[in-house]
Amino acid sequence: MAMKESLDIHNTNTEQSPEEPMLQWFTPAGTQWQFKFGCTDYAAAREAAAQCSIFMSDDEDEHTDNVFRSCYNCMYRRWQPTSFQCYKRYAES
Amino acid sequence: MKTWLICIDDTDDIGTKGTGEIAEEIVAKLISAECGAVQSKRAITESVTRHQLFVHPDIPYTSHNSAMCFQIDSALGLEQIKQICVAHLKQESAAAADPGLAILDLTSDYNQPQLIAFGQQSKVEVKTKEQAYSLATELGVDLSEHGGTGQGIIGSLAGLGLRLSGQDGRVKGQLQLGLHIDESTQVQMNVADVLANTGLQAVISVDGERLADDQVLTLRGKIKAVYCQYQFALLVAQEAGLWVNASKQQLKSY
Repeated sequence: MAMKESLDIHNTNTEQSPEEPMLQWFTPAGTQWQFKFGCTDYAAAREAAAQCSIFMSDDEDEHTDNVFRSCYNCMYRRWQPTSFQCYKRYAES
Repeated sequence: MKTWLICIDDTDDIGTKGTGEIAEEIVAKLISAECGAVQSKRAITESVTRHQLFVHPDIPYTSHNSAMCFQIDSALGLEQIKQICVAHLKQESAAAADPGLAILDLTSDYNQPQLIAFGQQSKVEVKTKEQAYSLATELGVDLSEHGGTGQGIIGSLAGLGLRLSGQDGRVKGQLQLGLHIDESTQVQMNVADVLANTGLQAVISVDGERLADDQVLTLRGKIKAVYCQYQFALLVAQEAGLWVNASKQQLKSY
């Protein structure tokens, strides 16, 4: 137990990559990120976009969420049959 | 004077001008070429409609795979219309795009059910360029590619069919009611006033019910239209006993 607490403290002190918080909602998939929550989890898409440093609105006609800042409204999302992939890494490269 | 149906697809890339905007610009250029001036307000029937196509790993779309279609009455001939469309596509399409252009003379004798079927199939299955060219030749649709792989011809032909189905497409842009409305405020107007202010042809519920002229609507946020039942329509839904304009989630199926 003591060992586990020690490791946790160590992890907390480790400098986080700016990308790491986004991994709550995404899984790395090649050069893109795979959204974990599908096409209709609006709460998750809004939470993720709120934390994202490079959210960029797509053309308003392509928005599918009434809340503006949502991954579902972002220019960097590429729709898939059951979810979307984020081109964030692509965009930053 | 003839009536033309024109559709473009696959003109953009991430961060570049959208296909819908390019379609709007082509409409303006076609009107300008005929009238010599840009009209400040166009008929609702000249609106650009956005048609969702199949999302599948085998289809090389940018981010959402949609085609943009519009209808226009013009005395210009096919070659003049095509020349204006192609020049603008070449000028405005993204370098990585694969633009396609489809032009149909609606006064011609063509097999409309076959074109509609192609559009509807393109929402649920992968189509090939060969299939698109073959059908276009058979129906007399002018179908052409303008860069890259030219894959956009599939969507542009499909977009014509979907528009002709009368039951597909979101209208590009937002409707202006002459009132300031945002997310936090709402206004009430009856159907007749909404139609008079916007030029729309109907108010239709998400269940397909056409609302009467005296029905009161509660409007808020962005007011968007769809093409359904062969009408440019405001889509509405029941919410707490009120008829409200459809949310983006409800508009998504169009």
